[in-house]
Amino acid sequence: MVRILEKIKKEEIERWYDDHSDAILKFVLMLVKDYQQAEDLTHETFVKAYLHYESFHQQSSEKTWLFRIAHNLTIDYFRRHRSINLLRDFLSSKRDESRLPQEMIELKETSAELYYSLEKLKEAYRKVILLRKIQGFSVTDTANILDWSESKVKSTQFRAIPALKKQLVKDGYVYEKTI
Amino acid sequence: MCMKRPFKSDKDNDSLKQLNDAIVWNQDQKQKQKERLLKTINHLDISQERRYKKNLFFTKRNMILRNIAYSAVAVIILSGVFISSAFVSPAMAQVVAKIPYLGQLFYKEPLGDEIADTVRQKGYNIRGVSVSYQGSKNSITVSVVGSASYYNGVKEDIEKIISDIIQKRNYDTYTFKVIREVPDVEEKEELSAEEKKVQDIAEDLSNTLFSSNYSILELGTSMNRDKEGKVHPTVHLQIPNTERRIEEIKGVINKILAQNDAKGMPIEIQKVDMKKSEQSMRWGDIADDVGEDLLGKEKYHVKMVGYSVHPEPQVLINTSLGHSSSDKTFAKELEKVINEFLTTKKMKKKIKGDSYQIIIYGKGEKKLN
Repeated sequence: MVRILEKIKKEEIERWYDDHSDAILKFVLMLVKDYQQAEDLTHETFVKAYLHYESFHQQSSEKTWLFRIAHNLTIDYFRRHRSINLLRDFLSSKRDESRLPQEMIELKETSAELYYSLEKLKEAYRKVILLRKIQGFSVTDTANILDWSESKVKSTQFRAIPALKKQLVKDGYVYEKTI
Repeated sequence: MCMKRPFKSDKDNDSLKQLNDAIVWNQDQKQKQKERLLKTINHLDISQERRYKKNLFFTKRNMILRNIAYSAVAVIILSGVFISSAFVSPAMAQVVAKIPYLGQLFYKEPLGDEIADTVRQKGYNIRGVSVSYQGSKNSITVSVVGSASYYNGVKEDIEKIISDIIQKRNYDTYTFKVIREVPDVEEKEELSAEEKKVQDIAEDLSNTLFSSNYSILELGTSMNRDKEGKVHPTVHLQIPNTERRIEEIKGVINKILAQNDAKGMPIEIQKVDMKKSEQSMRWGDIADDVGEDLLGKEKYHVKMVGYSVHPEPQVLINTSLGHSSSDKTFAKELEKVINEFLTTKKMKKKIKGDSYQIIIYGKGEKKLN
């Protein structure tokens, strides 16, 4: 009996991996800014999902649940990198852009500037833009993933978008004209 | 209140949506990672599964306290914090090794990290590792997450791991204990009408001010109660000291306060010297690095490592040394080694050309160098 359940569980995780690993990897990548770490954290996300499969009660979609796990893992990761990141957020823009390993992940030229500007935003802004605008999660799901209140999601988003715009202008990316 | 939305056009949204597609993950790599996942899953047996806490999602976040500046009691809570950094070139390490009693200053990653990483790698479920320095009593606490029987089952194993790591490093200043984390009871906050109002004001203020071109670091409201239980709501604002338009900003705030029927609420403004803040953060890290090995071994006689950036950076080393000439010689030697450490490439990068002093104190806060 146990064996059969295990089998179902594995198949489900496999399916989840096929469906969502891309999005998770990109989300984590844009948070941690390091491809290798993003790959590891994505791996860990699905391992955790497997281990805690029983605690997934479908109050949210599996995608929201997976993102929540991934987000928690990145928080742990940041904790380990506490000093570096505090400083980085503090200075927010003064940072070398971390380039991506081309053979693993490719960033199309058309979106490169947006990507790098986004990277420079402070963490909370980046999170909310990634989830709401790029992944298209609802306010409720975003709040669930980040463990924030819905009003915090809304107000952070409200500040994040102008901040992104400012960054784009600052980086010499004339937003209106390029699109 | 009317919220203006400078970025609302569909175009903007589209370009953000496209970003996800513009990042293309190599499909072979994805497949490789899938195989890795399946392999990992197959290796996880049921016994291991029990080691993980069921309700993963009700974890309360650990507070990470920085050992800011120099104080009599400094507590650092590490939860796998810091990434290892091998600071020293082999050549440098050799030079250091020649100084007889200060052989291994440049050793390895922070102790708390190594413990947390090792324990976790072995599959034990822990919340974190806290390392505390209190005068001459350095202690390590590892908190285990899980049932009482899980805790009882793993306590000894974890103790063994800690003890091995401490021994391997030849540290002799630490005691340690493994405790069970008592689960937090989740509290649902119900805001009073008064609190709600103050919270709404905070939201209104940030919506307006963060989208303005004023430089604002932090913004919020608080409501402290005095002894009689009377509430004193206050607006708190943190700005860089380069921001000159203070009256203007106050005007904007007052307008919003008036709209919210909160005219006259006091505004507290804190000006932050950005250069100093950045510098202080860097030197906090530097002091952490300097202290790693010095605090671990009795023979260094170091009790505390602190720093100050006012007016200029100083690394403060508090020792239990006396004031004899041999103590002073030791202090000089210590200073020399720390100096050498601070001129390594890795540390130079953190120091960014700041000039600094190393001050070594003996008993009774007396300067030794």
